[in-house]
Amino acid sequence: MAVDYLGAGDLLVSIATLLILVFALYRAIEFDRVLVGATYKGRAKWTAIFLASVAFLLVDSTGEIPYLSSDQGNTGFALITLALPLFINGNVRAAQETDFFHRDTLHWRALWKANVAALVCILAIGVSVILLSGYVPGTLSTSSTSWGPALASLYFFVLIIESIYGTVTLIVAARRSQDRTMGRFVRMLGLSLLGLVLFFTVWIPIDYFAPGVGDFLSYFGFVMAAYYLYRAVMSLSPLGKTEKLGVTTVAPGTTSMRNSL
Amino acid sequence: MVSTGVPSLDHILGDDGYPDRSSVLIVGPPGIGKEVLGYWFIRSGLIQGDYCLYTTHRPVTDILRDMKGVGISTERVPEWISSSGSPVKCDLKDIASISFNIKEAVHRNRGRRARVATDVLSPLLVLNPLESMYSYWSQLLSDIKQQDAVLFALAEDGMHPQNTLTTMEQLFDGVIEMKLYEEGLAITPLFRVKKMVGLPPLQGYFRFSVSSTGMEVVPHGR
Repeated sequence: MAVDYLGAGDLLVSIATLLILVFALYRAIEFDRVLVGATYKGRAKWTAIFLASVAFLLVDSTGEIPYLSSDQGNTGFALITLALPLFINGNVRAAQETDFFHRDTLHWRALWKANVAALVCILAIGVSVILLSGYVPGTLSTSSTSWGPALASLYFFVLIIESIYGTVTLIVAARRSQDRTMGRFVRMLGLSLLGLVLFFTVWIPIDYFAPGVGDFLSYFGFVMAAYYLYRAVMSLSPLGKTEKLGVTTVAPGTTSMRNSL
Repeated sequence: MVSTGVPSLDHILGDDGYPDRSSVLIVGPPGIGKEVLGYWFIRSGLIQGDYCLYTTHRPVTDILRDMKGVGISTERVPEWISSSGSPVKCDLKDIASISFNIKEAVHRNRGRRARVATDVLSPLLVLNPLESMYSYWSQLLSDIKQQDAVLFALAEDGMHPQNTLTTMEQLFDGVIEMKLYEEGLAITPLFRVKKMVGLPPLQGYFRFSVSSTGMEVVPHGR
């Protein structure tokens, strides 16, 4: 009986990645709970949302989880498509906010509007084509119309460009931010986006020469994305260890420190 | 004594709060809630009729939004020195004007007790050499304490090398450190009073929580 090494490897990598994502998600929720500052609390919340989207994409793309997986990972892809631009924008804005001089890194604010316009236009046209052709189920990539695949490619292309631009902007914004904590957080996010871009793209040329291998290797891009997302979450605030703590000897309602002198 | 604006913290510090004519430094990572202590400190001063000044590198609208977010009424507001939204501007590139404006405002109100809260320490430490900042803050704190005033400053942990913060801590009469701690899988926000003039070294940590109804500080036990 032949052993499907690629399939087994795929599964192991998927499980490991999912564990990283779930732990990172838990930490992000914890940070959202305890942080007070709006900027950092917002980052924790959005990272949690993004992590959930990435985790869902992973589960969805396996195509093997009952009730959760769609045929080709379309639902997860649609979700990440929605979350990714918003997430990148929020983080670039946060990094710019913590820059004492509020510089517009790589003209992000100005070009962001053009990006949104492009994404909205393509999405609107795609939905219109699907509705007009009477093709309801599925997504652009499985549309029965000839416009479907072309629009899917265009949409995918814009998303990749958006991700690359966002990644570079995040890394530059991280370098500019005088707030080292925000700088580290944004840099880690930039690296995780790089992992996602690799996940989206690396399989195309490799699969051309060795079918199946590219798909397997692309998961390492996903592992990279998950790992750096975890690092990003953990860089939101340094954590001390409770072992080093002493115990407070003054309880409320008893003698205060000054009175005990 | 000058109330911190947080009754449970006043109790920890001896039922009265920060010492008169003192300078207090709050150190903690970004987002942990250092500013909230500053807001309650100012809020308490406004209620008691003290002269209150908030010096910030952020716009006034940001601070007011934050205050509302933690349940602090903005009906009464302090005098501002800020990057925008105030008559007197805070320009991080002009450190002499920041110092002059603070001293001038406190001097102008010398008949009243003054409370000054500021978040410009960290930006200035990032943008200027430590040596010049040490003498700058040393001079400013000394001048402020000539008046009946308490200065409350915030410093970002993780934004400066450790020796920078240790050096600056020496200048202040009180230092409170806020930090997140790992307890199993949970994360707990705690603070400790590293030093406070008139108090013996305080052992132990305090758990704090911030909500829209106020700030609560309780001893953190085993």
